[in-house]
Amino acid sequence: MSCRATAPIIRRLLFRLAPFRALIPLAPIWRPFAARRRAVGCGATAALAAGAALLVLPIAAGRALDAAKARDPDGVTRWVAVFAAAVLVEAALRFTARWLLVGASRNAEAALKDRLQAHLLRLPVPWFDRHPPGEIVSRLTQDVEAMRFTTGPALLYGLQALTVVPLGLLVVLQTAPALGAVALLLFAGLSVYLLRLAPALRRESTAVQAALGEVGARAGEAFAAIRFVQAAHRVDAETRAMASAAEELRARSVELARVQARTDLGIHATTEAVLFAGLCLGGLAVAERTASPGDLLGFYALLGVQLAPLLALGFVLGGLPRALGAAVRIEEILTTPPADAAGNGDRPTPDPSEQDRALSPPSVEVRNLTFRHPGRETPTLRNVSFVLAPGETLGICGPVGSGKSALIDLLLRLEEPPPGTVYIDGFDIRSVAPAALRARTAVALQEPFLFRDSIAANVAFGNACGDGALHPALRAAGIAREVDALPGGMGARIGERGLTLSGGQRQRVALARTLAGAKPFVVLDDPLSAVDVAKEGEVLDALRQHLRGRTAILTAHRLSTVRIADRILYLEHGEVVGVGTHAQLLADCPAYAAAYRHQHEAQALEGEP
Amino acid sequence: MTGRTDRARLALLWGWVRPHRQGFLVATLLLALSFAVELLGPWLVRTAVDGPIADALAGNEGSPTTLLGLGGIYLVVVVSGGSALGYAFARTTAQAGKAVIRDLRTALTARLLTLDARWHDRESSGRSITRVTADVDNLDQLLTTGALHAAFDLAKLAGFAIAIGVFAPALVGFALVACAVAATISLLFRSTARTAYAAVRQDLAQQNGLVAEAAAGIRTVRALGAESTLAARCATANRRTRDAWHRTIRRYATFFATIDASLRLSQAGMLWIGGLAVARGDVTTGALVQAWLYFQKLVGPIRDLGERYNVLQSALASAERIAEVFAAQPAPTNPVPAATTLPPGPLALEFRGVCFGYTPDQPVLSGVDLMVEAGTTCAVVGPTGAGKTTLLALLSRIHDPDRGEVFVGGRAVTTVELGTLRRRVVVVPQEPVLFRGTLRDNLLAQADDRSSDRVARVLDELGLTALIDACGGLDAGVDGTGSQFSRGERQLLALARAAIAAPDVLVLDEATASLDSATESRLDRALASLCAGRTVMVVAHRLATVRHADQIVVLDGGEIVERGRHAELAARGGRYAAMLRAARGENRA
Repeated sequence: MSCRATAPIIRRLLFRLAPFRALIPLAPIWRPFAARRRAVGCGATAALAAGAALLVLPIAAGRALDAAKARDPDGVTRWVAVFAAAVLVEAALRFTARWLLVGASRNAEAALKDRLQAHLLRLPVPWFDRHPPGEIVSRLTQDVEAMRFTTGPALLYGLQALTVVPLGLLVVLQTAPALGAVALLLFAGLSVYLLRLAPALRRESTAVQAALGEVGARAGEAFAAIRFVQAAHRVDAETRAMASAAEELRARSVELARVQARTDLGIHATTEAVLFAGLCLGGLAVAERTASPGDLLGFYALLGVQLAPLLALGFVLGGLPRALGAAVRIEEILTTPPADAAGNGDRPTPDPSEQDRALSPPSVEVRNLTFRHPGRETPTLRNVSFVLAPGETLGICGPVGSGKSALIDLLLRLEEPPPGTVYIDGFDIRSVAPAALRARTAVALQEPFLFRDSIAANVAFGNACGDGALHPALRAAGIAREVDALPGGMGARIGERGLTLSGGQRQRVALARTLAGAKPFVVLDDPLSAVDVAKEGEVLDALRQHLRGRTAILTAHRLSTVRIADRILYLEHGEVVGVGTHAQLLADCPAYAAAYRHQHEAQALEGEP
Repeated sequence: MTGRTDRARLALLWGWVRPHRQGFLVATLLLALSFAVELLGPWLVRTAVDGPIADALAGNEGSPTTLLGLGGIYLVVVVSGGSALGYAFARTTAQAGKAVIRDLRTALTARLLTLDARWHDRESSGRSITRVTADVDNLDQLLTTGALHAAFDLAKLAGFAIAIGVFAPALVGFALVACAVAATISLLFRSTARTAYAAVRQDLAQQNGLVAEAAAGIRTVRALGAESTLAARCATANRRTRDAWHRTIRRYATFFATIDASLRLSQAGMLWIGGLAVARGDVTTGALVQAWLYFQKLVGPIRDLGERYNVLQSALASAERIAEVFAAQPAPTNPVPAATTLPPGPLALEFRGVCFGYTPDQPVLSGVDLMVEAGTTCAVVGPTGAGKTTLLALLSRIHDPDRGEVFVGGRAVTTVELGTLRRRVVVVPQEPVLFRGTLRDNLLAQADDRSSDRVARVLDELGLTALIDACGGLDAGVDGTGSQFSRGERQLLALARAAIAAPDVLVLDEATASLDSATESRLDRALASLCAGRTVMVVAHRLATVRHADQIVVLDGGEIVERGRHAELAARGGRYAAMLRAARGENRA
């Protein structure tokens, strides 16, 4: 039977065993670790060999003492030389093992983090509402670190313990069988004791990690909104919230430490008990001349070299439950389907005109779209339908809560629309590859998000445009002059979320990003809400130029903004109450007419001398 | 890295340990007792080897009982007593250490929250999160598994060396050599390890910053289809962190190999000298076994000293990053010594020669003088980036001016207790913030008066009742970003929060910018009643909103270029009139 055929059977057999099955969640870190075959193989071999070299020490020490008792100085020197040689060999081997195994574990960690980060970035937007950045960061650092520990470091310590302890017992069983048997029993008892503590360890460490995640989440939320926290005098409230999260973490950590202390108690008591057995049984064996004093020293020396690997083994076993808890959380992330997973396969094979289409403005159709936001009891959008021809600009207006932004989210697939409701170029948007859609779509969202990077990098972000396109885009967005005035101009770096720019300035930088890409489909969600009216007029003129020959959707809370649209869709409570040109709506749509009157009055007041 | 010494960093830690020092004192006593027990073990072995066992080998009878007696002492004192002491020690340090860590974590967050907002502009929130989580955890490691052990390990080194000296003077030289060699290796290793660890921490924090930023801006990232660009950027950061780790691994691998080898070679030396002495009959077998056992116990502490260096090094790097927070410039703090009180009722506002900049070379406000009488409304208009938001931020002391002074109710704001100031001056910001909790928590966040009648009335006035019902009432949960609400809805909720707080000074910073004009005009009455009897400062881009203000100031380039009432300014033909013309042009469209 070939290897290929037997492997699954062996794997199935292995996974039958419950302890192995529990280890499956660790696969995401073990796979990239095991992939470094040469490093791991050599490292593991070196660790095993180091364990064997370590065993030479107690034997040589015992023989040296026996030689001393036999008044043989040359014998003493010979055995001490063996001892010293073994020391050097062991040091070289362990250096190699540590370097290769721990090094490989860091590589595996980086590989897993790469995979996690890439996957995270593809998760559905609503997922991020449930998992704040702080929590994500703590999973990516603490949880991955806990998992990494089960690879290189665990192997390094574990393999050494696996050679030193059983081989050492064999040596003892040969010279003092009773002592060996007792030591074996004691170590077996210790294993059972440690295994029985494992579930408690796992439970407590999961609780600690959860509490730590909460601390991170709390901190992240508060730091991100620092100005509000300070101005609204919420520093004390946030501090109290953190105090209670920190107290929860303390209580859980103390619980975990209690279980760990019981683990250490077992290890310590067993070791000392073995020494005690050595004293009584070994002493009796020497007294009865079945063993030499050198054997007794050898036994103690053996325990000396066994102790470190044994403690390390406890360390490994202690880290395992924590790693498994972490692995389950990491698995949760990895098994959450990405936003673009749903039904991209049913798209017919792209025809040769696909290439051209990417550059041409699309048609957009929305059919009987009803959508309920998960957090809401009533639908955000009800039965919305409209058709947008290629090259047309559609304005969407309506009062607060009318569903403008929800519609944009669905058109951009930030939220998943129900099947058969949104069509791009006649294809259900759910069947269009998101990458293809985004490659031709330029977007400015209501809440502009700028990265801690230069303005130039922010404008170029997501766009395949040359540096030459950046400044004209800034000019079109009406922000060029202000940017040029900054120290460093376009190279000036923006603080987190662009906080050193005003709201209106950020919106215009984000708009410049939209314009720089020269993409055929433009979606703008109230892109100038924080810009003053005079500036808005200037920017809109440039925008009108830009949108010529492009399909565009533009929402706004101000009717004045959508004046550049060919047609306007007026929404109220998630329903379309009017579609048409400004004049048509004024005549046919009382709600629109009323809204226009309100605005008209407001502006007429401004116009008064 | 700043010039803070290790001592200064540890002193910082001691400040947090002090309140819990009793626990650590008990732990120290337990550790001392267990040390005594550890010394006893090898002595018992030697007594057995040189006593009953040697007697038996020499052919003398009747000693097994003595052997069993010694074993009995070993069982009771060393096995049981030693284990119990170890367990008690672990529990005590955990209790005390975790309490210290809780205090530190809370205080660090409190401190971060009171840092100048400009500091947070520079630091990503991911980096700040790293400080509160990973860096504090490193100190936790030091406290609960490192510090006491390390201190005691040093004591043990001396103790065992003396013990070897007493019981086998011929061998003490080798113990001392071992100590000296180990100490030298540790010292040589120390500085390089610190640098390597600091690099790891820094790279890791940077990487976390990237991830946190990407998560916070996921909507933009997704909408731009920039997932792969960002993933590549994260991957680069990842590689940098990994390479930093590799550098530390090489150093640690070298360190452990050298220190183990040097200790074991010293052991070999001891065995050689001791063995030859036994062969000559100068030293008894028992004494050599005892010295060996002591030395074996010494290997652990010296080896651990290296392991603990792991902990200590990363803890010191973390302590440095925590110390940075405590050394950073705080946001305006409470006045010292005694705060002046604010008069009751509406408060007058005054800016006197106020200059301010986020960076020294880039002034945002340069010499603003402005007086707002109590109970009147002042509107601030001007182009974006004129410094309007910054001006308002000085009122609630988000920042203090670089030069000049701000007065509220005739008192310099720097002399008023911050809590009082911020309760009486309420800002409705440009970017409405909702936080995790219930809607009720969010709405009552700034309120003293928590009566539900009042809340219901305000919600009704602002037309929010239907929205609240749709979400499932006031006890419905709000997630960390308030993402279930549109921006306009969040603005309405923020207005409601301010209305419920009923402050004496109301600061509206584009508080209605995201509202459509129908909603806004519906709000007119509510806003008018909200502003009545209060001192109001309002920033608005829409001039209609500011038309009825008692005073309008035009801010441009950080200076007030015009001021007066609407009619005066409109007639003057200056900046304000130009803005009106622009708005009128808008109106014609």
